[in-house]
Amino acid sequence: MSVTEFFSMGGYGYHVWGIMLLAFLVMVFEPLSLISQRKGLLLRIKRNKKIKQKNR
Amino acid sequence: MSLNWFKYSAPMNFYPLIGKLIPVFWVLAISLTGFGLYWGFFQTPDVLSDQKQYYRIIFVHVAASWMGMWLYAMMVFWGLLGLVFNTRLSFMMAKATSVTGALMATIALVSGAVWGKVSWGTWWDWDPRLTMSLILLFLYIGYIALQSAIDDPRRADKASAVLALVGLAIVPVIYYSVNCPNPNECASLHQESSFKGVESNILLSMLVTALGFWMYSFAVILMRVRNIILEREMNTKWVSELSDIKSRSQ
Repeated sequence: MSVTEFFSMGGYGYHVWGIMLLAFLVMVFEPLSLISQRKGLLLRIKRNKKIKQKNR
Repeated sequence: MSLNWFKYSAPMNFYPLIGKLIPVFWVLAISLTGFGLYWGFFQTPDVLSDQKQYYRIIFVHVAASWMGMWLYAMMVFWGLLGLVFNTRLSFMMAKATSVTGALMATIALVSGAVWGKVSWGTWWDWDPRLTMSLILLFLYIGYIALQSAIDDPRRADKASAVLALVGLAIVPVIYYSVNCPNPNECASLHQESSFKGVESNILLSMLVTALGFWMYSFAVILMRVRNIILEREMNTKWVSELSDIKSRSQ
């Protein structure tokens, strides 16, 4: 099977690869957004800690 | 040697364990999903009964559909545990499960619609299975909306756990909507979910990919619960003493 034949999926390439791409994007976006959320939270905690230390 | 599971019901004790579990689940998720899809695209026949190559949507569709249902059951389990034992971590786990469950239910519906378009000639039909799957997605959305609508996290946790519990009835309905004991009573456009007659390589690929999706779900649920713990326990002493915070303060 050639590369073109493989990607065309018998004329259903858009359907098959479209779904694969959707699943891939969701499964990449979800952890990335969680990593970014975690970074923000850690920064917020660090800032709160500094404020508390200053106020002592 | 006995393991004290109750020790890990405290966010403070569970937090360090999460950091160790996440990489394990990621390795399993990537290798199992990668292997499942490789097998599905390179080792399977080009047709499945009367369906042409578009049947390969099955590898994502089935895995996401199963996860949509299982994660809902898991969310109810954590919610129920929280209601019975009043454990904070159980509610946090339930909340963390909801978003991944909703995403899986969405992937299942979209992939099903695309598959339906090429297979049945229509994107959507008010067929029992499809309708129930849509209601499942609405239940997830309802749970998430209720969580964000109530300011007090403990009240939000309890109210959404009750909502999830009520909606649990839909999971067996989804299953029986295509595995109906008497097909004349519940005619469905959606084919019966049975492994009978499925070529062994297709079956292997489907099962391995589904296992990969399980591992992915565990990994992201743990990542999300770690964030929820940080958010809710932000003002506690143990959080301010975490090595993550110390290294960032330097």
